[in-house]
Amino acid sequence: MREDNKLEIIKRMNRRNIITIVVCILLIVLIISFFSNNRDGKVKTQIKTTLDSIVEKSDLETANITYNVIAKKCKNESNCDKNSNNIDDFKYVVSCKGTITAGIDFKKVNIEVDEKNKKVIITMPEATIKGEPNIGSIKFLNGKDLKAAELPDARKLCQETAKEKSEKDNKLIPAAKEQARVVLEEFYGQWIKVYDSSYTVVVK
Amino acid sequence: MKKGFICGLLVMTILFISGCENSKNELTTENIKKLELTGNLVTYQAYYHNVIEYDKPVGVGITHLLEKERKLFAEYTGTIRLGINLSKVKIEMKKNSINVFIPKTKIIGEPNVNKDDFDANNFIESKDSWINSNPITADDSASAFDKAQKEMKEVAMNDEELLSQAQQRAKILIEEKIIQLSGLNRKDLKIMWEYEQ
Repeated sequence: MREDNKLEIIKRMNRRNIITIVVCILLIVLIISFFSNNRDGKVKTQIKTTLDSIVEKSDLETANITYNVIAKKCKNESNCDKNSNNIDDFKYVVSCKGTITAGIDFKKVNIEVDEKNKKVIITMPEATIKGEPNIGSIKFLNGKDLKAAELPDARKLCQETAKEKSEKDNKLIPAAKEQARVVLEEFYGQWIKVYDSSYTVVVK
Repeated sequence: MKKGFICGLLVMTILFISGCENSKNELTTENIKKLELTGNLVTYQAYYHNVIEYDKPVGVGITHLLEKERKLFAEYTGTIRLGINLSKVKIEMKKNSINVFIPKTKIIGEPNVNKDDFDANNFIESKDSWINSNPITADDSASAFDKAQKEMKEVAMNDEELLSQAQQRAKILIEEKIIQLSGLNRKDLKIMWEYEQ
C-alpha cells in the first residue's frame, strides 16, 4: 500500500516537473517570437523615422526637371507638317528653356519587412506633374527678320509645346520617381548594413 | 532545485535578448569606423530634356566648294548622377561634438544620354546648298551625341544650386547614419559640418 502511495507521489512530481518545463519552454518561445516580431516592427519604425527626416530635409518630395524643348511656328496653320526636318518650312523655330516640377507623396510610402528573404521593401507612389511648365529664356533658331512683337507669341508657343510634350513624354514620370528612388536606395542600402548586414533594401 | 534552474534559464534568456537590442545604442569610435565608408554615395539623379545645337562646318578641299555650313537641332533626354566620394568624408570625434567634413559634389559615372534621340528623323536642319550639298551624316549624329554628353556634364557641373543640393543631401544622409549608429536623440547630438567648396 505504502509502495503504491510512493509511486503515486513520484508520478505526480514528474508530471508537475514536465508541466513546468513545458510552460517554461512555451514562455521562452513566446518571448523570442515577441522580440523577433518587435524587431521587424522596429526596423519599420526606424526606416519610417529616417525616411520622414530625409524626405523633409532633402526636398525629395519635389523634383525640378530641366525641360528644354524646340517649338515650331507654322507659316500656314491649315497646311503645316510639324514633323518636317527643314527649318525653313516654319515661320520660326524657337529653343525654349523650361522646368517642370514633379511631386511624390511620401505619405503613401509602404514599408514591408520580408524576413524570409531578408529584404526590406520600400514602395514609393508614382510621381505626378505639379502645375504648368515654367519657361525661362527663349532663343530663335531661325527667322532673323522676326519682329519683337513675335516674342510674347513665341513664349506662349513654348509654354504650349512644353506642356504638350511633357504630357506625352512617357519617360518623364518614371524619371521623376527615379530621382528619389536612387537616393533612397543608396541611403538605405548603407543604412541596413549597420542595422543588420544580412538584409538588403529594395526601393521600388 | 530544478525549478530554480529553469527560472534562471528564463531570466538569462530575457537578459540576453534585451542585451542584444541595446548593444548599438552608443556612439563610439568603433561605431564611427562603420561610417568611414568607401566608394561613392549618389545623392542626386537629374533628368534632362534638352536641346542640342550642332554646327557642321563646310568641308575642306575643292570638292567642298560652294558648300553651306549646316545647323542641326534636336531634343534629347538623359540622366546624370551626382554625389560624393565617401572615402573623402572625414569624421572626427571631439569631446562634446563630432566634426564632419563633406567633400564637394562630383559627377558619378558618365551621363546617360538616350542614343535613340539622335536619329536623323528627329533632327531639324538648316537649309542645304542647292549647288553642292553638305549632308548631315551618321558621323554628325555621333558627334552631336558626344557633344550632348559633354554639354550635359558641363551644365550639371556649373549648376551651383544642383551641386549644393547634392552636397546637402549627402550631409542629411550622413547625419541620419550617425543618429542611427549612436541611438541618440537628434537634439543631443552636436555635429559641426564643414563643406568642401
